Amino acid sequence: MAAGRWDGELNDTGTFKHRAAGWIREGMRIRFQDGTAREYDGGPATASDVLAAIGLNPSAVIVSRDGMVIPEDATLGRDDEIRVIRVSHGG
Amino acid sequence: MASGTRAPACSRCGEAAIYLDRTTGKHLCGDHLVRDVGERVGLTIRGYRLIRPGDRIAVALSGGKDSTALLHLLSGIAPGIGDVTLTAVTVDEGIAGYRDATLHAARETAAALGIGHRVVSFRDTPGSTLDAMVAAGGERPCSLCGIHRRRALGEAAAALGATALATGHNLNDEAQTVVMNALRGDLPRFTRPPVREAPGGGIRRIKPLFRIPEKEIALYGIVTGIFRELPECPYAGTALRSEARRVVDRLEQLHPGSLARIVSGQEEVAASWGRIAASGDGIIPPEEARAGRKPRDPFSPA
Repeated sequence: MAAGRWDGELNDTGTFKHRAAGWIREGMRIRFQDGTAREYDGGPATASDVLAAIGLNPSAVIVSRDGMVIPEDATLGRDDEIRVIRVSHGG
Repeated sequence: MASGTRAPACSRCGEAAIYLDRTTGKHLCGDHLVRDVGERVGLTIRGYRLIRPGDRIAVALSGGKDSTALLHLLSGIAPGIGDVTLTAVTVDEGIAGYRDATLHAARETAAALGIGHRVVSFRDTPGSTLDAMVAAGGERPCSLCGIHRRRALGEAAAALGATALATGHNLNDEAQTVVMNALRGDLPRFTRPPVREAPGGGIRRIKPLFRIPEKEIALYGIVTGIFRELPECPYAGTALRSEARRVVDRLEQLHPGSLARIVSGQEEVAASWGRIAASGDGIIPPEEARAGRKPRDPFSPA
């Protein structure tokens, strides 16, 4: 597998496991502008709920999935990977 | 997209939505969001007569999303008003690791739109970079920057013979300012109308985006391809504005429409205050109170 690429396989609970760079995850992956990432290990939820759960205000960020911007009430699955862009900052 | 996940549809055309307007509960796709923002900016400009035939407008272009969207929108709207010219003005404050990237973006944006562009530097006026001023101590960075940037923009606009100076302040910025002025107890600023004529026929300060939420401006930029991810100003976190930003963002999330209500409410307060002050009904306008004028003592003989 190429560096930075993700692959997935179905695990015994019916959700996807993603494997990259030698580690395994079982939740939603959230990528940020600064290159960092974290996981959300809850079940299917709206983007707004996921953002709130990780301490972000949905009014102050934009979320994209598969390169497409989605509204905050879009439902996300456990195997989704989303990108978060902060729109509310100084400068 | 994962199986079982749902993508809401645009309330107008049924295409995939990119935005939920939480005030109305309606969804918009990219095309309709761009159209909607453009229409509302046009309405703001016409409703408040922000731009008039024959105007020479200096557009403050930091290179960030708001000023870039402003220039993009004005380049489409201004020709319909008649004999309006636009010139972009960028202030280089001298902030290492921040301004170079935004300056580059500003140059590219102005060139792409075919709009003249002038760059003015803190190195020339006031004669020192912001980094050097901050290192020397004294005022807070955002206060220093605000004072010198407003002055630099005003001087550049005057040098261009501009009749108006347009800035990319959005609805969030305006709501933050209302909260900040309230927290400071700054009555003169709190009662200042958001749109006003320049005293003495000077250069008008106009904010065509002041009714548009910041998130919609960012989405406008993404859909039209002008949005760039740029570094955040390293001094931004030190400002009271950062606290005000968190407060109004939270209010908007908990109570959709809060931003618009804060700004509309302040506009009504300013209008009422103006009427009271004009009536001379024993109220001393804040500017005159600062200058030392005392209210008339109702118990003393006239």
